[in-house]
Amino acid sequence: MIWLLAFIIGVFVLFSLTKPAFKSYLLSFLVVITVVFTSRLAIYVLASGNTLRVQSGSLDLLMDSLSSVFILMINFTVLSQLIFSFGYLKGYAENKTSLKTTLHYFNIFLVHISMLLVVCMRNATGFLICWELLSLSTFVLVLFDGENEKIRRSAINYFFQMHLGLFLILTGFFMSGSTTSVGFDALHIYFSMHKAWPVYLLFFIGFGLKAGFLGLHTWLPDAHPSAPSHISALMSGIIIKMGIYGILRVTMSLPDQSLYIGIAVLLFSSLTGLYGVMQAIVQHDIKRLLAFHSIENIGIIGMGIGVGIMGRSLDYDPLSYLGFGGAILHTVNHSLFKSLLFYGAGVVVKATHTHNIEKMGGLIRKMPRTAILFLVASLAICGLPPFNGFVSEFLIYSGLFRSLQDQSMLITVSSLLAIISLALIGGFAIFCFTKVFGIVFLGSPRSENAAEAGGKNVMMEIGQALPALLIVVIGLIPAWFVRPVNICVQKSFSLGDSGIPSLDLMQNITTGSLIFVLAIALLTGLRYLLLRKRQVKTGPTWGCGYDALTVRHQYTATSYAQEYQKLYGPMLGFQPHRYKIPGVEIFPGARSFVSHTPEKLAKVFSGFFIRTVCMARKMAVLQTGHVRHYALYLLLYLMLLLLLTFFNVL
Amino acid sequence: MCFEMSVLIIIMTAILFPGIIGRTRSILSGRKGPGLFQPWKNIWVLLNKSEVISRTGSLISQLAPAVILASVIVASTLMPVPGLSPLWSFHGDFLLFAYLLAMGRFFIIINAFDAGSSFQGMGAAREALYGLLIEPAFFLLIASVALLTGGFSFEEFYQSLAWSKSLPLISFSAAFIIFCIALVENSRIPVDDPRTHLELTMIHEVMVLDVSGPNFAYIQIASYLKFAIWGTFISFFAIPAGIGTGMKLVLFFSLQTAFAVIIGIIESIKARFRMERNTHFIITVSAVTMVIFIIILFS
Repeated sequence: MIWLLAFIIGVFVLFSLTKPAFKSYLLSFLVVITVVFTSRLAIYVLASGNTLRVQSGSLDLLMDSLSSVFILMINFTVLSQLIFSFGYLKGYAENKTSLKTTLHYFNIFLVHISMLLVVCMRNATGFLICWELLSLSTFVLVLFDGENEKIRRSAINYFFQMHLGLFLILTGFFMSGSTTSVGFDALHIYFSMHKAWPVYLLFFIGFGLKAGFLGLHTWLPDAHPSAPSHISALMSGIIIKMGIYGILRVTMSLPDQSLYIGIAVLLFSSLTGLYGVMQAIVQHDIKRLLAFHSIENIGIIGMGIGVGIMGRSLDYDPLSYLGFGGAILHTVNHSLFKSLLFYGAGVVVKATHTHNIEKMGGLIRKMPRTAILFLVASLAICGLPPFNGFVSEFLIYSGLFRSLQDQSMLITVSSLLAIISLALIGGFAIFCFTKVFGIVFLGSPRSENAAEAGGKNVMMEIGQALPALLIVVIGLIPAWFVRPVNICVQKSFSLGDSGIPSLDLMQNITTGSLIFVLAIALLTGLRYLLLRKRQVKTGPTWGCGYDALTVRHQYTATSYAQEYQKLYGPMLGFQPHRYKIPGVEIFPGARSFVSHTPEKLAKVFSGFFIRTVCMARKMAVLQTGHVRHYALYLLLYLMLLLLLTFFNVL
Repeated sequence: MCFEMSVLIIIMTAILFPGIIGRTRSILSGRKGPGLFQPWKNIWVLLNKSEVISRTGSLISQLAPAVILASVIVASTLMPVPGLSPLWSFHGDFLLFAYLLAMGRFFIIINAFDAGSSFQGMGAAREALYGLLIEPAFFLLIASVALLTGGFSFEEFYQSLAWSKSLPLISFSAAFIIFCIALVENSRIPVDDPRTHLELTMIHEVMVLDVSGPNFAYIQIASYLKFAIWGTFISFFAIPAGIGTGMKLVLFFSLQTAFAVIIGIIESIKARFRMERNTHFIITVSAVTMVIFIIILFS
């Protein structure tokens, strides 16, 4: 541990000493070395099925197949984020002080190292130290634009909630630890002797605060928009997955008879997924919208975990393979398409200088490559073939349809509710992403900034192309990726070899996707051949015979969401701000209309905390500042202890 | 019989379908009406025309119709015709089916956004909402049939539909539900009027206002194919698995003709619902599917 601290301080000094122009190169150098070193080990572990263990003093590192999958995911996301940030921070970082840029680059490296260590740590002390390091460095990263008060507030909100999670995880470790070992090894022994659900609940809430489950998510929609886009991509792509990693580790130690825990996780995650996507549809800040979608996908991953737990308790291995495999694969897929979406949002926000999608439009003509890559990511997040989102949702659905057949009414009804939720989530996601893609990139520009946007930035495009490439590959040939995931699930949850159902199903998905792409190519080719000799004319969009259309006549995002919002109004808290029209008005004057949809649940939580703080302030009367009063308090306390001992209460 | 017959039969159904609907409508209005193959003659004319592209449009409007038609074609290969061996079938093929149709819906919506007009945005919003609300109905139905038969693919559903006391009730309800789903997905009366010329009242038609020539032909073909697919799905519940193949095919074709005639009759006698009532209608369909599930659960 001392060496780790010395190493960190040394790296910080190194960063502060380099010239600002070279800081990013130093970061790239360090990151690439780490990536190469750890990926080699991870691939070795996955390929050979062995695990690597390092135990020295207070350090207890174990790299098993679950850690390896996560290490590969972490490395890929950090690399693509780094390449993207080369282009993104141009013109952005020059306005910041040298200390800020030092802290920024240094903390990206720190986040990377702490994540790699978190997935390998076995004992509680090491794990918690690295977890804390992760939270602190993310906090500093979010504060890159800390001059803004709102951003400072969201960062502090994030800080508090992460520490609440830390406290819960700490409590969980202490409750489950024995005198000899406190950590994940001790958890196994604890669960076999005591009831599992209290400690599991503690861990679930603690890790869930990091992941962003329902009720534990209130920091997410504020923190992601506040951070610069490459940091939002990092947070949404991989940092919240550390919460999922924690939940998976604790689930690995669960005893087999945990049916009710599995069903509870399944139903809670369905609610999370539904809530996330339903709130996302009515947002008009592009990054806030994407943050809510992260909540939705965490819900989907949770559903996979729930199915897996159910499979273990029913002793039905195919269900566990499908559930846990779907969850892990969706974790990988989500890190890919969410980071790509945030990169696209970053490019768009940088070009139009606004977060509001109502002020964008027609950007496909100015930045076609970004638009196409954003489209690929949108299709992937909606779970549409031939991309990777479909594969992981397919696995989770397959698991749910298998558990539907069970004899027990409880399992059948829960599976049905989960299937309906997943279907609804898919539909809502399509609603939302058609809105985002359509309003941001298609149509005509809705403001001057959008009309002037443009410019080529090779680094940003390469950074975007990397996840897109993997999205397409996983979607077209899922068998390559499902195989290591299956190995990982088999080793982690000690399942048998029988009944690995996923691989030949994946062959069929490959065939289907390839036929689909072939059909598109043939039809496009046919159209090209038909139109080659003919003259294709352009004309204005049909406006019902009305010629004087302006760009304001287009559909807006709020109008598009209006159809949906009429149905789900009470849940969303839509607030229009209308300006009154005076009674007598001969010629109509200019009018404006603004609407907001603040999150009702966040108000509930913040209201609770504000009331607690008010009550705490009332107690502050006791802090008078005079030492003699404090001496009196001590005396009173000792007398109370004496009385209680006297009456045999203590 | 070889499996290519499955696809050919669906294509044959798709060719006859729109003609039968149009002819039924005309006869009920007292006219002689266009020929049975008139819709396909129209498609031939469209394929021979050139296109007029909107200036606000981009690559999306040029490529979206091909994606829509491709998704419907691949979805149609997944649906087996009762009595013939399917082209391909695997556990979970209904998922690929549902999500391919959703892919088509995504592209038709962004095609509408690409034109940048308020009408198309309106139609896109309505289409997105109705599509979103009808998905759970489809999945509920599949879940009910899966529970009833214990199968995981369309072919297994069909082969395992065994006789039981509640089977006629379940089959009739399932057929009715699929009929309603088909009405919503294909934008027919009472959900949408395909022949309205008032842009404010359109849903599907308004999204393709700026599509012309071969692209428009693609969208029309996709719509006709979708009819055939949903008709095939209905026939699962009406054709028992035990009878001979020839008998099954005869039943199949007569069922499809009846399906088309019924749609024609409904289009002639009913008007389109008020827009608000559409959402009620679709949610009611989902609720009825839930009732079917409960019947199956307790039988």
